[in-house]
Amino acid sequence: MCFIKNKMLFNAMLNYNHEIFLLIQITTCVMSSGHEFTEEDNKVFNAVALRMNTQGILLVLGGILILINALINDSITSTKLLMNILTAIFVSVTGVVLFPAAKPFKSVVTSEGNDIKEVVSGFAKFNFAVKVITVMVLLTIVIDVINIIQG
Amino acid sequence: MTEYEFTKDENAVFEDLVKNLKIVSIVIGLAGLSVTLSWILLRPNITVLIDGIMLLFLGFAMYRPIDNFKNIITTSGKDISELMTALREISRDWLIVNIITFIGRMSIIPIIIGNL
Repeated sequence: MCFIKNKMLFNAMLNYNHEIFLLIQITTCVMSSGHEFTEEDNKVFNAVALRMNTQGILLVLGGILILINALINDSITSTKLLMNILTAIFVSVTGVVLFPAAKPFKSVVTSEGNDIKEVVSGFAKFNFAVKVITVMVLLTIVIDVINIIQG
Repeated sequence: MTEYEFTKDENAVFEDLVKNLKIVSIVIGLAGLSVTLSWILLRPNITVLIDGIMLLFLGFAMYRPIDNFKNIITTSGKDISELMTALREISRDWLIVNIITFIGRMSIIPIIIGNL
């Protein structure tokens, strides 16, 4: 397809057929972009990327604070310290997986020509983040249950 | 002008996302419910209540765009408008989640300082 397009473009240039040359250029532009989001849509993408990054930062910060609190309060030999360290890791991981998901949504705003590709990539990475979050929340619940049982 | 129509492969991404969003919203919602209930019963500290509310709202935020993603897969001619509706909902709901999480994180600091 690309070969045919390039050959037609070359012939059009050779024959000085500016109309065909222009038509090929326009068609090529439309075909390669698929869909270009408007300025208004880009604001939404920007907001989604910002919210995901903010949530990621807050969760990582939350994990660090849980860790600090555990190191101050729990005795070094207690199982509660280990449980709290694990909770801190799970909360932080939940935050970290949101950063790669936010990146393609940001790229929709900054780049041109492959908006749809970036959107689908963003949702694929968000899908992965959702899977990781599910596992992390389940593990945190297990730890909470163990903590409650141990009193 | 006709709207862009997602391809079969692109729809597969949304299909998988819908399935996983359903699971995560239930898991997070149940976690939020149990954390909130534990605060009501045991009254540990305010951070627990804020985390419970945050989890409940995050579960709701994960569930809300599911219908729009389903429409992207099942309907034709309005894929982009459905996508934008879903993203607007995500943007709005996640802002609230951001604010509740921020309040929750800030509420830990006095507890840490108090224990020093």
